[in-house]
Amino acid sequence: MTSPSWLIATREFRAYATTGSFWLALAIGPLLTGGGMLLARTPPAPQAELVLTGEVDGGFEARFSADFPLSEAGRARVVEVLRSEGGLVRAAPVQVKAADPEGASRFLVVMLLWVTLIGSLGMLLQAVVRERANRALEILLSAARPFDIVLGKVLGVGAVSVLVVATWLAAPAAVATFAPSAAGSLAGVLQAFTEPLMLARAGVIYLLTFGFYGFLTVMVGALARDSADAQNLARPMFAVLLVSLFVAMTAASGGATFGWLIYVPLFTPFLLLASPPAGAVEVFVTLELLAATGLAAWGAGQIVRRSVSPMTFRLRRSSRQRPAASDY
Amino acid sequence: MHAAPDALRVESLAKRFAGGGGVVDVSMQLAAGSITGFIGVNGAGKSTTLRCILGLLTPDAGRIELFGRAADHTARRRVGFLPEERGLFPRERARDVIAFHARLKGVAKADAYRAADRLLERIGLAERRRARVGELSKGNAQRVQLLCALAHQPDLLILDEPFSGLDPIAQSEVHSLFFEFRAGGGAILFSTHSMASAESLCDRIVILARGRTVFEGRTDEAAASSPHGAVVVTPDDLGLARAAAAVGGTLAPMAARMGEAARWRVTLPQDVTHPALMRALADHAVPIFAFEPIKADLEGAFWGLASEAAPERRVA
Repeated sequence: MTSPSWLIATREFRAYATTGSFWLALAIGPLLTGGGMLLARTPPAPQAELVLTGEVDGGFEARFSADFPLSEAGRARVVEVLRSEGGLVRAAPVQVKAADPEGASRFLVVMLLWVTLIGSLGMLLQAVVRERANRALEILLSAARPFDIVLGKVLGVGAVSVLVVATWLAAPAAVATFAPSAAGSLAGVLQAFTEPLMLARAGVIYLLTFGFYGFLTVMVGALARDSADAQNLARPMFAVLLVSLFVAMTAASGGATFGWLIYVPLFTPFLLLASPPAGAVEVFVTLELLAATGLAAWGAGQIVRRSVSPMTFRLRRSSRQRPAASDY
Repeated sequence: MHAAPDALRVESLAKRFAGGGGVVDVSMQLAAGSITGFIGVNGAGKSTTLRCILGLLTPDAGRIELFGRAADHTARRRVGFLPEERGLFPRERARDVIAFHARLKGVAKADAYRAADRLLERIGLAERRRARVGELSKGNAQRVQLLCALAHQPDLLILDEPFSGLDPIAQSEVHSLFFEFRAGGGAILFSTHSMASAESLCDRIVILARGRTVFEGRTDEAAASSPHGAVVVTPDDLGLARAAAAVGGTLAPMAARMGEAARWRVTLPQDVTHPALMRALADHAVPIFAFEPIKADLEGAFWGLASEAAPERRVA
C-alpha cells in the first residue's frame, strides 16, 4: 500500500510538472543563469595600477603594480615627470588586492536558492489555500492524517523546487566545468560550482530550508480563508526572507555585524550558505534548524487539523460579535 | 445468527464553537443497507455533525460508532465522503482523480484504476476517462467527484448536498447508483434541502433544528406527522391572527416582511379544513394576496418540526 504522504506528494508534483508552462520556465532558468553569465562576462581585468599615496611630509608615494603595462624605461619616465612636477618622494611596486571570488561564489549560490525558494513557497501557499478554500482539504482529512497531508504537500512542491534548483545550478556548473575560459572574469566566482562537496552542502541546506519554510507556509495557508488572506498572512514571512538575503549578502562580503543571527532558525540557512563551513557551529545550527523544522511540521499538522473548524479564527478577533440565537 | 451492526450510531453529539453555533444534542442510527436523509435549515448543524462523524472535528460530548465500534481512523477508511463544495484539481484526468481517492483509502494501484474505469463506465463517462476535470461539464465533474467517494467500495457513504448542480437526468443516474449501493448492503447518509429527493429516496429521515435532532424515523412516519395548514400572504397580521385563532390554529412567520405583506404559516387542528380557514379569513375581512394549502408530506413535516424547535418565532 502506498503511503498517503507519497500519494499526495506525487499528485502535487504532477499538478505542476504536467504543464507545458512549467517546462518552459524550467528551460528559461538555466538560460538566464548560464547564458546571462556568458553575456555578462568581461575580459580578465587588468591587475596593473599606479597608486599615488599621500605622505605626512606633504609629498606622495607612487606604487606601480607588478604588471603595470609600461616598460622599466616608461615607468622611469613617469616617475621623472612626477618628480619634476614636485612632491614625489618614493616610487615602489604595489600588489593589487584581488576580489574575493569565494565570497561572491557563495553569494551567487544563496541568490539562486533564495529566488527558487521564494517561487516554490508561493506555489506551496497557493496549493494549500486553494484546497482549504474549496474544502478539498476536508476530503483529504477524511482519508489521511493531517501530518501525512502536510508532509505530502511539502514533499511534492519540494520535488518541483529541487528540480528547478538543480537546473538553475547545473547551468553555471556546466559553464565552470566545460568552458571555464568562456566565463572570463566570472571564472573565479563559478569555481565553487565545480566542487561537489560545496554543491552537496548547498543541496542539504536547501532541503532543510525548504522543509522549514515549507511547513511554515503550510501553516499560513491553512490559517487563511482565501488567497488575499494568505498573502496578508504570508507577508511577514516573506519580509523575513528578504531581510535574511541582505544579512547573507553582508556575511558573504566578510561583514560579521549580524553573525549571531546564524543561531536564529529563520536566518540560519542563508547565513550558513553565505559563510564558509564552520565546523562545530555549523553542526550545532544545523541540528537546531532540524529541530525547528520538526516543530514547524508538528505545528503545521495541528493547524491543518483545526482548519476545518469554521469559526475558530474569525470569532477570536472580536468577542463582542456573538451571533444571535437564531443564527445557528 | 447476529444481525449486522449499525453502519453509524450517533448518541447525544455536542460540538460548540467559541463564538456560538454548532450542535447541542444530535442522535441518529443508520442500519446497513439503508438510505437516510439528513435535513435541516441552513445553520441547523448538519455540516458540523457530518464533520464530527468524519473525524474532521472533535466532539465536545457524545458518542459516535461506525460499524459497531468507536469511530477511529481504521473504521473511517470504510466511509466515502462527498463535501458540499466540490474541489478537484482541474488539470487531473477523471480516472486519475478517482483512482487517487481510492488509493488514499488503501486500495492497491491496479485495483484503484480498475474501479475507476468500472465506475466511469457505469455512469456513461468511459469515453471521457482521460479528459481533464476542467474540461468536463459541471454536472459531469460533480459525478466524477461522487465516484471518488465510491471508488474504494465503502460501507457507508456520507454526502453533503449530492444533487446540487445536477440536471434531472444526472440526478436520476445518481438515484440509481444509490439504490445499487443500498442493495449491496451499503448505508447512505446524505444532507439535502430537496424534500422531493429525500421523500423519493430515503428509508429514514433525520431532521435537525437548532442543533438538535427533532425527528428520526421512517420517511412515511415523518410525512404522516406533518401538521395540516396553509401558507398565507397578507398585509393584515392582526386580522390573520384573529381568523387563525377562531379556528384553533397557530401562526409562524416564514420570511421577513416584504413591503406591506408578510408570509405566514398557519397550522390547523386535524379536524379543521382549508375551506374553514378561508371562511374565517373572509369573516375577519382579511385581504389575502396568496393562499397555499400545506399537504401532509415531508416538507410539511419539516416546516412543523423546524417551527416547533423555534418557539420564539411563533406568533400566538
